[in-house]
Amino acid sequence: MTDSPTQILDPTVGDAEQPSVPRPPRLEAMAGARMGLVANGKTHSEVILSRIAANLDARHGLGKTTTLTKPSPGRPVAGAELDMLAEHAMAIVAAIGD
Amino acid sequence: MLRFDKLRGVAHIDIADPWQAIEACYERGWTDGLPVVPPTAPLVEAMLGAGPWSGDEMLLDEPARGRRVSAYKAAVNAVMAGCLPSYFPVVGATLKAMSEPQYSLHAIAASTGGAGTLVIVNGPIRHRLGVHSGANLFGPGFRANATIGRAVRLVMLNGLDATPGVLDKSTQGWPGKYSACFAEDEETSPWEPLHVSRGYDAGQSTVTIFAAESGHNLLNHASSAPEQLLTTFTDSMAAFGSFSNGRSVVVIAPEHMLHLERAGWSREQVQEFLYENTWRSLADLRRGGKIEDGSQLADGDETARVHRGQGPDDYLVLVGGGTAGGHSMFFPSWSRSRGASFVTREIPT
Repeated sequence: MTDSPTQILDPTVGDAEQPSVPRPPRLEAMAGARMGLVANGKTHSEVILSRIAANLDARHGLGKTTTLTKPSPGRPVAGAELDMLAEHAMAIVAAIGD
Repeated sequence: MLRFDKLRGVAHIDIADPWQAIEACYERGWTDGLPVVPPTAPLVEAMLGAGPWSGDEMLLDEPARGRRVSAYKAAVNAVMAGCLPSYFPVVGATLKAMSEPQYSLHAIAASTGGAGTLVIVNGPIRHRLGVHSGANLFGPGFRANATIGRAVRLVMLNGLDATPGVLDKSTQGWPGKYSACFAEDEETSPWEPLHVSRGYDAGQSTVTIFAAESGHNLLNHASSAPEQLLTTFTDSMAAFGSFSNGRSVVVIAPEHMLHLERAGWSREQVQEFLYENTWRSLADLRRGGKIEDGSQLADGDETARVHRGQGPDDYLVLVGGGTAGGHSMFFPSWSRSRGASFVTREIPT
């Protein structure tokens, strides 16, 4: 047996190879923040979302919340729904029910 | 060079430590649990060269997380899966099909339902590559079947980060997630090939993909009457465990197909029969606790029939399997609803 001269290639796809999506700035404060709530459309996702929203409101005093339930869990939020969230929400919490 | 080992009495080929390369892939989490072919540059170049795509062309596009996989990375994974270069056009066409929005790739990669991607191959390429459609077509023994589907899964693991228990939340999964690729037995089928029924020419080669849960055996050795045979099918297909309004793939065994052929049943008649007779009453579904809170069925009439799927076109039927035996197979869609469509795409040849 000799030392291997074989070079094997990396099959993974790193983040650097993906399209760059800029991250939004973090909220400076939660007090009064307008929150978007996105449920994935499966049973109970609204339950956990409403509890998260209630807890955040109790701790920080949120502004208006806007809720969106996706018609299909597998599809990203897009189009008019995305525009609506961008207009009305400063931050978004997504919940996955199952 | 082929050498003969006098001590062990076997022929062997001297290669500099291939196990080190295989173990290196394990250590980096690049495998599906089985050993992989170490992807060296010459092997990857040969794989890529067998398809029409440049290395930087994107073959897989998953929009929910914005993940994309290039042809070059797909070729690396196809080498690891054990594909011959001639298989790469099938792998690439499958990845392109999975990128269609109606396939809901992110859900399929992540869902607790544990979907496997069925890859059904039609057209002349079946014979050129040896994609098997006969005895044990879902089982072991056939390189094209085993490695094309495996390449697709390795791309999901390595390209989409579909790590089991992390992104891939499959509650249990099923063995078809290793590989689930087979061909239609177009020669045994009395019907037009599946891809022709979906708008392609018989001379074209295609993949048709479907996000499936594990197959269910449809056993009937006793009857040659189409209605009885297909009632065996619908009885299994209406079972609570997989009941949904989703789609279905039914692979009809040649022995069952012969009975349907002798009676003159068309594909459309079979689809119609399956849809019309795969149903449960609303009362039944309530008894089984299959109505979720908030469902539009919640307030319906107890005697109402709730069908599997939304119509005959939700039943994709084709022929495959060995010539002996009354065993057909039903693959339900993985989701509790209508999570993903059938997608057919031409294989570049």
